[in-house]
Amino acid sequence: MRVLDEVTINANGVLEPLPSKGIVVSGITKTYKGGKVKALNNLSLEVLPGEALGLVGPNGAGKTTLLSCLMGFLRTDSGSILIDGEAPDALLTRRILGYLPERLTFDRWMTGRDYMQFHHELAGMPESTRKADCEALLTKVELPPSSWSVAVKKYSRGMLQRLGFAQALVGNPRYLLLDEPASGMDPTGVMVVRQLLKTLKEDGLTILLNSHQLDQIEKVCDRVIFIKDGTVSRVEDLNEKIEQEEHLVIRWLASATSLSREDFGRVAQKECLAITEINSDFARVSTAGSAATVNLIKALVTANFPISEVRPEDTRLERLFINSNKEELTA
Amino acid sequence: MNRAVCITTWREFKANKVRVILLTLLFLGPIVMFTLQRCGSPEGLNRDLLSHPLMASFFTLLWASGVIGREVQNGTIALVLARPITIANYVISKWFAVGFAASLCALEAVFCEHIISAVNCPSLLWAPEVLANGFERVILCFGTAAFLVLLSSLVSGLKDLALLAGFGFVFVLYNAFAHTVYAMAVSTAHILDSNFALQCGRMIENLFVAILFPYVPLSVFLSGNLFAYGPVISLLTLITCCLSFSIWVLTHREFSYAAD
Ligand SMILES: Nc1ncnc2c1ncn2[C@@H]1O[C@H](COP(=O)(O)OP(=O)(O)O)[C@@H](O)[C@H]1O
Ligand SMILES: [Mg+2]
Repeated sequence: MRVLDEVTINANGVLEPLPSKGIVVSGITKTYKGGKVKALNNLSLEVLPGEALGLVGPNGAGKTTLLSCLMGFLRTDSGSILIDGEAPDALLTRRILGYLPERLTFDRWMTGRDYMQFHHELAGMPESTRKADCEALLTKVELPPSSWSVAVKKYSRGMLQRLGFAQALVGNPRYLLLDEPASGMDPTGVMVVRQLLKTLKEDGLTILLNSHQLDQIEKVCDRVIFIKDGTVSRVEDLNEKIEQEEHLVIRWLASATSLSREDFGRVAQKECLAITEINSDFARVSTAGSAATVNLIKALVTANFPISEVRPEDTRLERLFINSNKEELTA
Repeated sequence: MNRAVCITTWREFKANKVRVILLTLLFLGPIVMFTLQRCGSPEGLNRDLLSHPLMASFFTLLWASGVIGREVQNGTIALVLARPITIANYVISKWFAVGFAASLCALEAVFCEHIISAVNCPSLLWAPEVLANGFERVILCFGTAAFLVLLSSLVSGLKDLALLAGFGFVFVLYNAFAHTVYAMAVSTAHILDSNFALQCGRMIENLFVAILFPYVPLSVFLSGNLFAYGPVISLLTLITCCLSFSIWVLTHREFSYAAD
């Protein structure tokens, strides 16, 4: 009885869910068209329980293929995938996975609510909580209640995306595989998704997020994996603080001071690696790291510059992405 | 069996206007063509005016065409199978949904025809013929449904109809060929060989009929005739083989979400 394996009995005789073992992918290769197109090439990675892992890579790198293999839609040519120690197509695995596909497809005649209830029933959830559960999830993804009873064919792209996200959360999954969750969404939707991902992570879900929005990954994920030509090209721990060059934009209130841009150059020079640009009310500079940035701001404030804004010009992930592309060009 | 899959299959049918119109035509057709026409004729006075149980196959065809193929084409099947439901369960649910719905439609049709007969000739109100006819229809529906579900799992969209038509075409072609060979052989007196070709044609014909119209004549069966077990056994074999093969096909299929 595999279903009973989902729980263990602890010392006090209370049922507890089995500890999550994460996703272990070892050396999988996947080809299409009888071996002509190699989508995944000996790819190995591990998703630790409770972490949010970002997948980054150019189009055609094999990210969607990887997620499809994890879901058991595609069979790998070689290598193995274990999700909580089980194969991807085991019934037990399907109970603990939530999936948001890249290209969403719906039975177009269903209403949003029908769709949710259909999946709620398929997931084997109890009927008594069906209506409440589905409405709670639809509210969570901020799909307006007026659209719940409207046929899916009348939904906009962003609304479909939200419905798809709600579907992925049906059945309280332990793992969430998301393939570009924010594509086609308006700015509010993008923010809703980001907030949702943070909440879900706090709730203990393990998230595998494939997204082209680097800032979203940077804000949500613990680690990020760069995929290129079907293999992992780089793994980066985003929680680990590293000292590296910082590019900043600094603004000040020109109207509130008699100091000129030459004064700015004089003050900033000592702490900066380079001053790329100075205007009457803003400048772009680079410093050696966060310690240097602190000193720079201190110096500017001491010199009575009315600083209104200091912000990084690009995020860490963006820099990594750009650098990895540069390396490739020079190689 | 999965309730959600069954109910969704029925609701999807209801959402497709073309199918609903076809269903209505299929329902009214026999009533207008057989029952009402025969009402006035002398033979209608003392016989039940029911159409042949084989009518039920058309209901099944309407319900079953693309029942799995359309989900494959839309891509919705992947998310269904991503849920904790086995492929066997899915296929059997689809088969049951089609068989049950088609049976219901076919029974309703036979019931209407019966009512018209009874109005025409009140002594027919308690005729057992209608029960036998109805039961035969139900058996037929579930039998045909198994074969059509198999066809639908082989191809995507509504291509199963094309597959079926192709089947029929090949059969007709073969039969015509066999007959020509027979006619030629008769004229040249090589009767033995050509007879074989014709026999083969008949065999294929029987097979085709047994698959598409797994008709079990109930009255013969109930009379205790040993020969009547033949159709029952072939019906059960048909259902088992078709569903198993369909499960096998879907198990070995990949549902790609990546670019085609
Ligand atoms: N069904 C398919 N048939 C043939 N090639 C495919 C198929 N799906 C994906 N590919 C190829 O596999 C590679 C990886 O695709 P995909 O996983 O969609 O990449 P990503 O999601 O990272 O953009 C691409 O080169 C793509 O052309
Ligand atoms: Mg993709």
